Amino acid sequence: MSTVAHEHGALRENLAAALREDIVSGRFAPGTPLRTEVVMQRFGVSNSPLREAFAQLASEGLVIVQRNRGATVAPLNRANAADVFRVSGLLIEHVIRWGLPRTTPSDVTTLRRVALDFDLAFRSGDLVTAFAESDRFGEALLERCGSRELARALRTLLPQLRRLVRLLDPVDYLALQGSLQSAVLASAEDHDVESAVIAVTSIWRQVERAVEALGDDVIDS
Amino acid sequence: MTAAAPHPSVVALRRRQRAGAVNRRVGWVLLPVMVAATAVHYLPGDRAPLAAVLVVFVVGLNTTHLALSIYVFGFVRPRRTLKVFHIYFGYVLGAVIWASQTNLHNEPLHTYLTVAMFAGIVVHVVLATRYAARRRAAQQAAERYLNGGG
Repeated sequence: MSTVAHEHGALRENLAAALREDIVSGRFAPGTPLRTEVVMQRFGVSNSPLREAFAQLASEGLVIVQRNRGATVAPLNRANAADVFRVSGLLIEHVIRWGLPRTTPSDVTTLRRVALDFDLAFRSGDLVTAFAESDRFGEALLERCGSRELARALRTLLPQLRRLVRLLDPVDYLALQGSLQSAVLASAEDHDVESAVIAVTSIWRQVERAVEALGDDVIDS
Repeated sequence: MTAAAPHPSVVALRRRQRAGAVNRRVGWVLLPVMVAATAVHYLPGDRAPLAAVLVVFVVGLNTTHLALSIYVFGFVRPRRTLKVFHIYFGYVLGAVIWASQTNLHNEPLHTYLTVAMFAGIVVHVVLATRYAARRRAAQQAAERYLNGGG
């Protein structure tokens, strides 16, 4: 029984992950209807795990499920983007405030290694690896923030954030990520929390402004 | 209104990124050429003209690969990460390949250098393959984005 439940859970997770990637990458445009029969046929799944996957993606803000009308890809608009950036900015500030005083020299060494791998991938034009290393750096910070709830809250917003930043020029966005990592590392060694918060808030604001500056053909007003 | 010209540092970064992408391809082209050059050198039969051409290609590609690597990565601060090891190991390997291919008639030095070269190539290629596999896995996930979604 537990094996069946485990397989069902894994199926739902895989399905949610595949749909999430399609939405975050832009393969499924905002407002696209996610027809149940088509998705069931494409992934070879039954209705039950599909409904659960839709519910999970709805909780992440990527899908809108309406009674009798099915699921559609959530729209992208400026008001929602501003809200996501405002809330994620607050959460990131607390990740820094709570996590930085707890970092040990070993943590700083780990972060430095990830940042170096990011930098080497970025400067050699290996952008996919740079994105992966950037995610690793963020995960390493989240793991050290000392609050599961804070980490969970930020992770819930990550799919929406990734969807938004993927609208930007990858090189410009990754350059800002590099600045953010440098700022965190510079402050982590001497536990200078205030400097890190000021720098990270400023860089996060630049990312938000870059999304604001996108044209109406990319993001709705 | 005219668009502002990109900052020189951004232009330099993008140039370096393009060089990095080209350099990865040069490395994969160099590998079979090197195997062919070594095979032609050691296998019986008179293939002197072909061997000479292949050696010229090996030396040219190796020099290009090494020069582009130094241009892209430079002398990064040594840290205990596989990536940094891969870079410095590659620099040393480039020098060994160069020494091996310019001492063809200086036996037994050439054979010693060739053995060291291929041992080094195995390590370098294993690491490069690992990075390429990771890159391909991430690429599949982000394909749409990097192909113009961004």
